[in-house]
Amino acid sequence: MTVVRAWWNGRHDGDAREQVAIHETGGRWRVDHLGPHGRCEYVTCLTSAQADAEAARFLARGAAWRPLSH
Amino acid sequence: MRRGASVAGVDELAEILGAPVVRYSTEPVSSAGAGTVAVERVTGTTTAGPFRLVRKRIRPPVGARAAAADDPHHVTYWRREAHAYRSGLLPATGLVAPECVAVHEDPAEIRLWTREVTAPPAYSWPESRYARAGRRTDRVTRVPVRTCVRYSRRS
Repeated sequence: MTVVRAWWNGRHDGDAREQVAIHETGGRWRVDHLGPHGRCEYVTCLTSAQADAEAARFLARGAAWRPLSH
Repeated sequence: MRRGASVAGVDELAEILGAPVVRYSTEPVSSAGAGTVAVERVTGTTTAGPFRLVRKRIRPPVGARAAAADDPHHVTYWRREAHAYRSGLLPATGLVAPECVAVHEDPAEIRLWTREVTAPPAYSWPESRYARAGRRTDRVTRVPVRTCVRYSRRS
């Protein structure tokens, strides 16, 4: 899978760090939200637009997001 | 990138459930141990409906515990639980293990997938329930009931 876009919340401590990433492989899209305390959510998407919308939904829950280089 | 992204396992999950996964989430339900990487509740929906599973990821311990954990006769043998689930010998009535839906193994680890069991946590059980569980355990493992009850009083 290729990470297309990713963000993190700027926190380095494991319990508070969050990350949102859009992955793509062979026309399949997936959005990951790696949340605090080891909680993770994954959404399978049919299109790039849906992946963007799901990522926006995760990003709306938090603050201080910044692009994550990979 | 954090490690979680690489172990999402959506393809493995879809294979187990027999349907494409639409969305799912994972959350830790138990702390890691010497050979246990993680025990996680995995819930979500497929195109066929909702699911609730538990995924236990185990690896051979390293360091001082490695030799014992690799010995099938030692109490800490790291593959024992996977072997038990694969054996088909676990009791189907009385004191039963959670239903195992898949055991996946790759060079890095073993992943045990079981149905989620919803029941009051053992620390909240009355002594009578420990005694009942102890009698059933006795039948399975020949651990004396008094050992189980003594343990329940300690916790």
